[in-house]
Amino acid sequence: MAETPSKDQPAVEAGRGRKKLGQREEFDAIQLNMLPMMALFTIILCYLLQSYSTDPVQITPTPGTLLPKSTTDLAPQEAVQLAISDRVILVEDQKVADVKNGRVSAEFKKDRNPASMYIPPLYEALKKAGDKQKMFARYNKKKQELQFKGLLTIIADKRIPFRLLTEVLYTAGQAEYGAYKFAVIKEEE
Amino acid sequence: MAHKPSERSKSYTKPVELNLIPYMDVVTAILIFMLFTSTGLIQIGVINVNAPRYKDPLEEMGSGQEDDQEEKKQLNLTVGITYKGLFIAGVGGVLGQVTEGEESTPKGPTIPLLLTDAACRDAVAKNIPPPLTCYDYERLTREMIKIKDQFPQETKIIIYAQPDVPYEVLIQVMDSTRDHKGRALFYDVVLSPEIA
Repeated sequence: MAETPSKDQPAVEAGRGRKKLGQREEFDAIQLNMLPMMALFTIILCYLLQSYSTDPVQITPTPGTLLPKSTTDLAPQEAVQLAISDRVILVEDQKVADVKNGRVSAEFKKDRNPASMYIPPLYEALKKAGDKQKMFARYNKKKQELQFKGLLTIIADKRIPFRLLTEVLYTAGQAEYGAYKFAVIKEEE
Repeated sequence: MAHKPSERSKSYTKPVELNLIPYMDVVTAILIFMLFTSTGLIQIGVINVNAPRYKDPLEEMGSGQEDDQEEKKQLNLTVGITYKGLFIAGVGGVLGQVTEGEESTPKGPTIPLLLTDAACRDAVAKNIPPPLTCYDYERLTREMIKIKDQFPQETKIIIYAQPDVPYEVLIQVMDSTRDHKGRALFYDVVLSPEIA
């Protein structure tokens, strides 16, 4: 005969005592309700797709590059992209010169002179990118957005010294680029 | 002959469950790819800067006196970023250094560094590039507003810096001189070569 639970003994413990050893309870298979998660995923996906479509110009800083913050409200435009990190200078994702301690290595300077402002490999790369744009412009004379305007987007690390920036701008000027767009991270005023 | 009773009322359709797993797989794969590749959460903007323009001497000879008069009217507002502070200059000279009846003598920067931080004091003592926070950007904006009040048509500004001044200081100076609470100040920026 089973013992009846005493007043002091909790009912649960009393119930447990009745179970036989090794006896398993049968559970119904649990089905996860995936619909809320799916709704969430779909919303995030739509947002990301929308932001992709509204930003036709994608600016992706090279790994390790820290962009400065600014209160500007101007959006990026289609232009040749030039990246300056603390280790390298890239034109359209192609390496053109090495940077060491905030200076372009002398081997990439004109006459290997460290004091020179002119960086020949950078000039060549920019000239090549410019010639490509000019060729497109020649075949699309009616399309104003394809004309060569000498626009250059500069994606520079916030730690680079002013000297390095002026060297790059001086060389860009030689390659017929006269309007620069400094890429920054937008922040509220 | 008796008819067999209709089974319509007895038949029932089993609730259809959509198999959402393939859809989930696709959505998750796209989502992960986009989150890794997109910079959508970081808003990237640009600041316009122009290269210095040089006039052809032959063109200058051909032009009349009108250009000369226009040039005289120009302010040529210049902001210099040095290791000791910010210099503001115009056609008349450097702001805060010229007094009537006296010759212009170098008295230090128009806006000296904020010496509240030990790193800033150290930078001044050693004549090395100070950190970003050492410059008084609010005062720079106030000075720009005063100048804009006197020259409302002027939009150009020339900015130069010492060789090792970090790029982020330049961007901050541009921000401080470009606008203030929706009022456009000096947004037409020209970068000038460094000063030694």
